[in-house]
Amino acid sequence: MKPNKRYLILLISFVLFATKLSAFIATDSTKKVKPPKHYFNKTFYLDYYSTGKRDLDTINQVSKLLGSYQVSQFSIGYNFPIVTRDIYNKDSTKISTLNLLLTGNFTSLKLNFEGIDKHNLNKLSVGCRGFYSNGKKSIFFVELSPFVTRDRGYAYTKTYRLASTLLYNFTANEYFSFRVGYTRSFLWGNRYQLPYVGIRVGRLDKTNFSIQFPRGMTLNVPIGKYVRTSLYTKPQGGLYTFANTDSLKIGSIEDNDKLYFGRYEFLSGLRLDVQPSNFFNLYVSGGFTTRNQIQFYSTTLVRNNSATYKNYYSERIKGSIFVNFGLVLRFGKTKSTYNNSLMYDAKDLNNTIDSGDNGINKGNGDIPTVPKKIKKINPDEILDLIETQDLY
Amino acid sequence: MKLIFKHILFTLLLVFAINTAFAQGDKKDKIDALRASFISKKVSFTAAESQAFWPLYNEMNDKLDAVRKTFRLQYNAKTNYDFATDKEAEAYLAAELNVKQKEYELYKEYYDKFKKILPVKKVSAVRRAEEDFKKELIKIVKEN
Repeated sequence: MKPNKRYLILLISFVLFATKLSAFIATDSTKKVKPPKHYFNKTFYLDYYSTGKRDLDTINQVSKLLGSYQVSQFSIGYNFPIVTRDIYNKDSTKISTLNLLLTGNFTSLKLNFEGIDKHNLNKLSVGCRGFYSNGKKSIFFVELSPFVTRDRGYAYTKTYRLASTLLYNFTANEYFSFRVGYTRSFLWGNRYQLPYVGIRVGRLDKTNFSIQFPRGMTLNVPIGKYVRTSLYTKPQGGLYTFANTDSLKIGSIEDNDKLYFGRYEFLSGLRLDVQPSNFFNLYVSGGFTTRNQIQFYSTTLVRNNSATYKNYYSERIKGSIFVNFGLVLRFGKTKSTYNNSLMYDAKDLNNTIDSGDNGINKGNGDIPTVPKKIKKINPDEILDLIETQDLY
Repeated sequence: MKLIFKHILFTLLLVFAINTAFAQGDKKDKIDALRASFISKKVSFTAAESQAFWPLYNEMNDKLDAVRKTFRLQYNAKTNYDFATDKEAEAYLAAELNVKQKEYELYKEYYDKFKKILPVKKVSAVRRAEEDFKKELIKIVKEN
């Protein structure tokens, strides 16, 4: 079966599963409707990213062999809420919440070096993330994203890794929040343990400016209810395993059968999110990549398991244009969060920090926006809200 | 290239099908978002009051929705209200009263909670804003 067909079948089966075949189930009139269980939707996303082809520096022997460089990346992922607990204080007036989500991601990076065979570097992760909001101003966030990476067709290249993030988010009010914490990430083409520092100014459902080191910087500007634009700059990259079938001589060793391949580039671009409903959004983005870098690490020479890897081949590459587009589907009825700025920040965290450590931003389509007005209402839709006396 | 377009077209069709399926819920979300916005404009909450009030208010409305939806599953626009037997008519009346009773209990429970986190004048202002919002909705229905 072709991979594309596989994705489509996966997509269809997911939709049927997520909607529980509701269209085919007859309504049970004796059923008791319960309030929604979770604050987060079941979310499913697809993302595609591609850069242009660039020639490499021809002085270096490895670069000479590689010739040129171009990448395209396809990602498919999900996050499902599995546990939601509301914890009340003594007089039941303050709600602290604990949310646990299951996350997963599959990424396929097509690596095109003109001088050698094409490589498909795959990454599969299944992890979890938890949020604890104290009902006042604080959110504690933890993300564990173990993943396995391999060069497709070369089982011996399989390597297990763990990306993780631990954060404290303080929401001073709806206009301002900051985040501090720690992140273990491979987004910068190597294994880094970095401090996480973030600050946001402006309401999440309106125009806002956000700096989230080491994840990126964004200026979000909504245009009406259905369209959001954002100007952003962010790193894009990862650390993968690479079957050295072309005997690249890295670190003076020729018989490395497996190499670690790291890449990162800085994206600066404009993104357009179209959100026709709360249940899905599409986005298209384009711009320029700067500070493009690729590295190869010799697995024979790299032994230390705790530190950043020392590279034995590194090259800074010219910039390129890039395109990025994606689709986000959200399923299930969730608890209402209107004007709940703490929960808006929790949703923003969930959307900004992607499962699989790929730097994919799903967009804040699940943060409610206020329509200017409703043009048409069917009386049946507001039957429960109106009493006869209201019409006098 | 043709294959890619086919897949894009298929995905878009799928997405629009999902959107249509969820359209009803979307309208309700719009009304709820407008109501929340309307109330926050009418009642000037402090940051602390807002953070305490909205989670409770949202929770109350989720519970009210569940009660009303349970009733609407049984009695809705498709129901034939010319009941064949007295027993069916009794059941309908009992269900109506049950909804009203549960609504009353929920309002009582949550307005008591609101009074613990807001000055009572603001609680009454919330109630007033809810009523004013209903009038806005009626206006829209009349304009249709």
